[in-house]
Amino acid sequence: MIPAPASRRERRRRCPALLLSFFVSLLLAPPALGDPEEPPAAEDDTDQQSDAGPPLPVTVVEEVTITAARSERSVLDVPGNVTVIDRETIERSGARSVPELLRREAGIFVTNTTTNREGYTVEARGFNNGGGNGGRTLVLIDGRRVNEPDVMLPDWAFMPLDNLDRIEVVRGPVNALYGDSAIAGVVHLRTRRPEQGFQATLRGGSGTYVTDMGSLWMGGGEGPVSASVFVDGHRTNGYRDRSDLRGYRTEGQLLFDLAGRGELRFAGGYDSQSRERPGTLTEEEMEQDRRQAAPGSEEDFDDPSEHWAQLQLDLALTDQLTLRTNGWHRRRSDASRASDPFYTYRESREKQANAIDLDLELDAQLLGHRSRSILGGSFLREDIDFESAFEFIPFPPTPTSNRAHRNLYGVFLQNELNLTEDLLLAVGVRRESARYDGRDRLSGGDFESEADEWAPKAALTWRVIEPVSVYASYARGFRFPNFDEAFGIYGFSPGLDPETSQSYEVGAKLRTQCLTLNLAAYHTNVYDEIFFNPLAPNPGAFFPGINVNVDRVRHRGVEAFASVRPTGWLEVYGSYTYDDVEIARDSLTRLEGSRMPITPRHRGNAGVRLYFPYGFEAGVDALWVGNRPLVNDVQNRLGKLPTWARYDARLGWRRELTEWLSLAIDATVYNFTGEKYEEVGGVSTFSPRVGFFPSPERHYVVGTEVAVKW
Amino acid sequence: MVRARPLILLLGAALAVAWAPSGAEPRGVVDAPPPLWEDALPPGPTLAERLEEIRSRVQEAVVYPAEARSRGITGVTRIRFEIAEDGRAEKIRTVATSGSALLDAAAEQGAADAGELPRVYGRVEVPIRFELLRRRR
Repeated sequence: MIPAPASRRERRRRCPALLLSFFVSLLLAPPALGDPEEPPAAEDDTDQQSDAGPPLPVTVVEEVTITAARSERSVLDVPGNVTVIDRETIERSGARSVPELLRREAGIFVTNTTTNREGYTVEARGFNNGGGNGGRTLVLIDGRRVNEPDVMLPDWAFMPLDNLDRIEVVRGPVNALYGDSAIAGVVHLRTRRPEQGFQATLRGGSGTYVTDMGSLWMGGGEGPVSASVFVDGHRTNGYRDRSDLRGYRTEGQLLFDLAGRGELRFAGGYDSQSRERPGTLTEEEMEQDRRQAAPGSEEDFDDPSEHWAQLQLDLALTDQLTLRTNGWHRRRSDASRASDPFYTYRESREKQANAIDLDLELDAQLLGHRSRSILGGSFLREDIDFESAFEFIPFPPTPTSNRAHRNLYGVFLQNELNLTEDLLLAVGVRRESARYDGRDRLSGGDFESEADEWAPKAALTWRVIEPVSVYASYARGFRFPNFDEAFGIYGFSPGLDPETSQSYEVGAKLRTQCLTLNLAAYHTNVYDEIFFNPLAPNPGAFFPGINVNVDRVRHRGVEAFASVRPTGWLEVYGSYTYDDVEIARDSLTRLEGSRMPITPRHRGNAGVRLYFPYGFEAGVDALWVGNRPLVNDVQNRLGKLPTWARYDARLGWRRELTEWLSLAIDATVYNFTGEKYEEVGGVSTFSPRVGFFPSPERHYVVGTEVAVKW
Repeated sequence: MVRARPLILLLGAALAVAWAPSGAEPRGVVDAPPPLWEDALPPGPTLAERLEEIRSRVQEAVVYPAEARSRGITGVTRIRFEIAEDGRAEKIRTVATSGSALLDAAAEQGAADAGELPRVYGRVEVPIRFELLRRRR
């Protein structure tokens, strides 16, 4: 552990006393909207004079100006369940990928199907149903949307952890800045920015399953110009046979400071990976060997590559008015094959996305109250070229060849108004239009469609007492059908409507030096939730199963998180999430009362970290996931996926050796009890096979880090 | 000659008080007769220099509250205080609020933390403007 400054240590020692005094003050403080320490009125001028005599003269001094940099907005003022995971937390987590870090967040449910970096699904608020539908959590890297146009799920294997500065997690659709695909929430990854001088961080790691990883971040600045480059390489054979992943990534950025009034940023990158897919195993196959690949999957693979470029401008037009623009381009190629003993599926996809966002932020007084307004617009164009061949053994292959485009136009206005110093009203509205056109190159059929949605938002945040706030919010969210739903291998689905949600939420937050508490309860009705229903008749195929709109699905739940650091050497945290996701109305297949697959009702985690002298630290983290229905078991007739618990342990050492050099070493054992569990399992979409994705047993990674700066 | 200097200073102080910008509140600004102890003021800096030192010390002592920084709170607080025999600010109060209790409290605390101030007859009023630099998203 790096020795903390004396004042910080002092604060930590005082934490128990601070906690006690806080709770006492909470009990004694009268709840009042107004400020109890309102200063006396200005005209009351003579009451302070002790001597009854003639009033003393007043000499007015020239005005004093106290200037400071505006710091990040406190999460206490954000009307939602919000978490900011900073670099220090990332480094002490022992996590080697972004989803593994997000697993520990209340309200976020993460699954993995490959045992390597691919195959992660990260969703909030009960939207992880393990099937093909997903993407209700919008994921951004520095404002660049990375949800894939075809499935709307991001590829988490393309998001290395080593160049991140922080991760912001917002649960729920509370923010009008985001529209399509933000029903469940937003995960925003912020990459590291170069500072003046020179900085570099070299990381390396090695572990079980022939896993090796390394990354180098270098950056620096001189005057108004700064730049950085990042390279990252990773390879693993994975826990299971045929779960190899090889990948490398390189990216860079160039920043210009605009005379203190703004910043211009260019960024770009390239990523390429080759991956194997081990497929699912039946219970009998798992009993034989849970590390084997699925029979017949010997040739399954997925080889993606992508490149991207981004240009951002952030400019203060006046002291109150700021202009922000963000334009980016992304192109990705995928070639893959998937199979089981009953079918083989091959496909190639070329995907492209181009976007431009523009917004104006006005920070000014409105009727005597502080007001922050953002007016903005966004345009996103997505293109996909898609060819596939589905071979249901022993029938001849059925080819598909589609080309499709989707344009999204959005406008929004959001305002945050301080009704009083402690009461913040946030209102917003967003309107978004989607225009689709597609062509089936085999049949020559054309398809066009359009949809419009709007989403009002309102929230009230009250700072009850200094480190505590409570909030209540209402928000509407929406998601347009993605390419796979509208133009996928099941043919065009012109009748598919956008899904919409009405979400109500209340919550409370507390932040002190040594105590963090988050509590949220939400109730979301999702109308026309798009869902692959294996019972729904498919007019274009000889077997049932197609994407449909389920009339209404009720999502409701509770998210709780607590972290305590009573002394400088001890930190304890824990979280609990309750997600109850049930079909409330289904006029097509009468599935009312069925639980949606894969998301458990109950899950949680807990951990303890110990900080020793000379930079040593140790920690144990526990993850627990309750039982949940299988994928495609929409009638909840099959057995449930069983509850599992996983324990990870970490030892680390971190030290600043000189002012310019620091070193760190850590070793993490994952699943040290050797629990045998499966995160995902279900009935195959194309066959009666009930398969599971076995998760890794005990494995470890040892990592090192060298950081320099001058 | 030695005794004449305080008198000149006193005259200067009285003139400065009379001509000082009174801001929004002229009620307390009067030409008060000098009390007897004023004669004992030691020779030293002029009133303008002393006021500048007060301003400088308050500037150094006031801390922008972190919570106000994160909440984007700005404003101008006018505080008034007297300077005790030991040079410390006393009877500190806000006479014109910024609209933010956080900023008002920071201003008052700043005056209390300003240390030993040069003595000035009567009360001193300091307008303190809290400004935030813009932040990039």
